[in-house]
Amino acid sequence: MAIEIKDLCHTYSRGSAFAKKALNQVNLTIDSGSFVGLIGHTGSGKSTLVQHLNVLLRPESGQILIDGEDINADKARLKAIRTKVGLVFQYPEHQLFDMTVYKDVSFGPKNAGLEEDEIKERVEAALTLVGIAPELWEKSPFELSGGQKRRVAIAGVLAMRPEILVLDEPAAGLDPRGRNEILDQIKQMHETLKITVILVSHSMEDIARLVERILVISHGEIVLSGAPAEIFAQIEALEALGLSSTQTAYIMRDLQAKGMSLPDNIFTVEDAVAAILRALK
Amino acid sequence: MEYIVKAEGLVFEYQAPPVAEDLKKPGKKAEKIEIEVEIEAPPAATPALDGVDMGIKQGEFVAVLGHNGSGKSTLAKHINCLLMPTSGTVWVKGIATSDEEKIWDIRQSVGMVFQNPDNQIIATIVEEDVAFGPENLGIEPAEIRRRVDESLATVGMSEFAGHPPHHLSGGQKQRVAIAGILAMRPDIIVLDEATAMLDPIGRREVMKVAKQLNEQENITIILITHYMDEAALADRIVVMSEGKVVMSGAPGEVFTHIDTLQGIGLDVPQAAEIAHKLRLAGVALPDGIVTGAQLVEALWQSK
Repeated sequence: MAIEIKDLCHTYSRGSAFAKKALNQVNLTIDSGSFVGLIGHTGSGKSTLVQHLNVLLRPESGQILIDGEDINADKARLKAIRTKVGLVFQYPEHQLFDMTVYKDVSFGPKNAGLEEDEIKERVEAALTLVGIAPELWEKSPFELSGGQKRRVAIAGVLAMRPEILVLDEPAAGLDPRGRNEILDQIKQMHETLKITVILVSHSMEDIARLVERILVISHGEIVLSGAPAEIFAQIEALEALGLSSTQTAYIMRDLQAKGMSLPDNIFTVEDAVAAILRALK
Repeated sequence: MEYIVKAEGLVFEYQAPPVAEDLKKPGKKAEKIEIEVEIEAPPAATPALDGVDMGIKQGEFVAVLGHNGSGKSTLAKHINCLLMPTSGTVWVKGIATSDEEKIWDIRQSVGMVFQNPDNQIIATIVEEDVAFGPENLGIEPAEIRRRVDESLATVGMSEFAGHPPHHLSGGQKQRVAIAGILAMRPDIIVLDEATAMLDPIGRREVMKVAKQLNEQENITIILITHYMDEAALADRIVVMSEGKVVMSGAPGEVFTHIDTLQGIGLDVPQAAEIAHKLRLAGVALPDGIVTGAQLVEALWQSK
């Protein structure tokens, strides 16, 4: 499911004294089946951009094509498009509401008018995929831990079988283990289901570990785009944009400055250890 | 007075919702209701804090680590009397938090900053928000003016004094929240995951202000966080798990226990992890490396 964005602009409170340009001439293509990280400082336009992907916001000008279809062209297609593009908001567990985990996850498929058997299959598959064991399915979602709740909320989106999954800070507020669990599961989902994943995050370490390509947004424009190695090597550029590189990238830079001969594009712990060992030999 | 905050045998249980006496027995059928329902006995309350003993000294910068549900925030809420111990005692500046007459003194001494910047700002103009605390304390207007200006200057937000808060970034909002606390002249500031929702620069801004308040104003800082690199900047780390303090020591000490920490759902900063893996590969490095600067220095020395 390829996404193509052409000259996308969006202004909040257009025509009033509080008008604020949130997106300015955004052009980008996201390949089908890719795992893309979207980073940018607070207020850079990340959320505005992803809300356009399933028509929660409409462009002021420009176009969004998903598999060649202009998603704003035909209102009758809205439901189909929203099924295709699953959006997981920040703190999705705040949206849990039903009596049991199972019922909560089945809410979407039920509303989509699916058959009972189909619903059952989808709910079970989604819950299994996010690692929620069957003994929790009949529990109230509110009895679960923070990380579990969040995974149930993600399962609710997965049960709609989206072809594009957009996650806004899925690990915010979780402890390191919860963080790793949820992110590893997203990675695994991407690999098994072959869906396109767009991950919005403030954690450079998480982005470095997971994605194939990074988009950097600042003041409503895509300012950098490339493989993690390419982006995280640009420490000064990232800082100027209110971001940072990974902790490891800074260590490598400082070692280089001290005169240690190291390659330029190291940003994960494993690669750093290997590179330092080589340099010490 | 040795400790500014001290807890002894602190136990706290979140209470299960009350159930009528005659329905409490397991499997007992509710006869008074027309539909027949089986009512389960309420689960025994599990203590969120299970015998915590700890002390924090005046002027210390302490990071509290622990998995979700380990009791970190419950502990923090005891320090300014938002929660009262089920048993045991918490003292702040030598006053027991259970002393109802002193509750406002304690709350004035202990400022808290929470996770979501948007839930903590109440006024429509930055300086009015900062003035809210001292106004409620009944302080003279001239003195309030002075404190607001000083506090905003301390957190580097003076130029935004007349701005509406909703145009600020997350890091700026958190600094305004800290200024609001400073205007009440606290002895202790508790940052309860105050950086969790911020972008990298926002996190750095808040950490810089916390460090500066600790070093220059001698304010005791209690930093609750899931970011190991932030905890590495503290004087001491307290690790909690299942409502108990399981480790306490300097970052260099605590972060050498990589397996134990990972076993309770935590991690170590990347610098400590790199140092650990290099040691395993036979590189001679000193113990206690937790920051990038320390690692770079040690590697430089070892060459």
